[in-house]
Amino acid sequence: MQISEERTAGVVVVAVAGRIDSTTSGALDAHLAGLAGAGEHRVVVDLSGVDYISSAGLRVMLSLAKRTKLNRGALALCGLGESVRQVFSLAGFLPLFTVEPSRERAVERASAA
Amino acid sequence: MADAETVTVPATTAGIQTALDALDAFSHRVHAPDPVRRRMLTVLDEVLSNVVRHGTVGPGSSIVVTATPGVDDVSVDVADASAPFDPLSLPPPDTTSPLDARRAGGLGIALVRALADQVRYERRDDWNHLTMIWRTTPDGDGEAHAD
Repeated sequence: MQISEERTAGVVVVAVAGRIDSTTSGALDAHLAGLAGAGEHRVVVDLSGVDYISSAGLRVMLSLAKRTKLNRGALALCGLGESVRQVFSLAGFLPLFTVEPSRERAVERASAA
Repeated sequence: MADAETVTVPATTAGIQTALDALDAFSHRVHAPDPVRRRMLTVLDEVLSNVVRHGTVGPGSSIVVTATPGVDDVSVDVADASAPFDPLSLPPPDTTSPLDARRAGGLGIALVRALADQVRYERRDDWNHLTMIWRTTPDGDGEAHAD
């Protein structure tokens, strides 16, 4: 798994690539918690490079959503490929997240909220 | 047709990583459709992390993963020597509560059921066997393709 970051319009965009599973979810969780710890509460997670996400990754995304709400921040996801979207859908996660088709739209949503 | 492949890994995160890499390579070798490959890897991570977390065997114990190609399917068998435990007996997860009340427990096994075309549990010779099957023909691709 690779994580890269970019800041734009007061939003931090976290692009994740590779596998989000039980072997990598700890590193992703630590990275996202680190952003909150640094006071960055407007977050976009771009999942377009993700090969697959398992429930360990869903747990990380659920914590991120709860933490963002607690901190009165804003969160949007983008780049959900077919298999990632299927897993979000099966888990009943789609209604819990703002999901946008493009990174630009996701940044708009996270900066405006 | 390619041969069956067996990897024996320790019940640790590093062991899971090794098994996932082996299944990834196997699925390329048998030309599994890409959506099937992704579902296989997701399911294997669920099954293995479940054994590592809840199994009664320690990190010194082994998990045996066998992938077998068929004419129009692929099966993956995960065997561990923990106490008898059928993960398919677990209750379904919460998939409807609002964010504040939502818990992620039980999602893993729900994903196993949903993402494998068939799954069955068997206790054999003091080992737990969870066997998943995926169809690899175009019809078995199984995902709803948006137009």
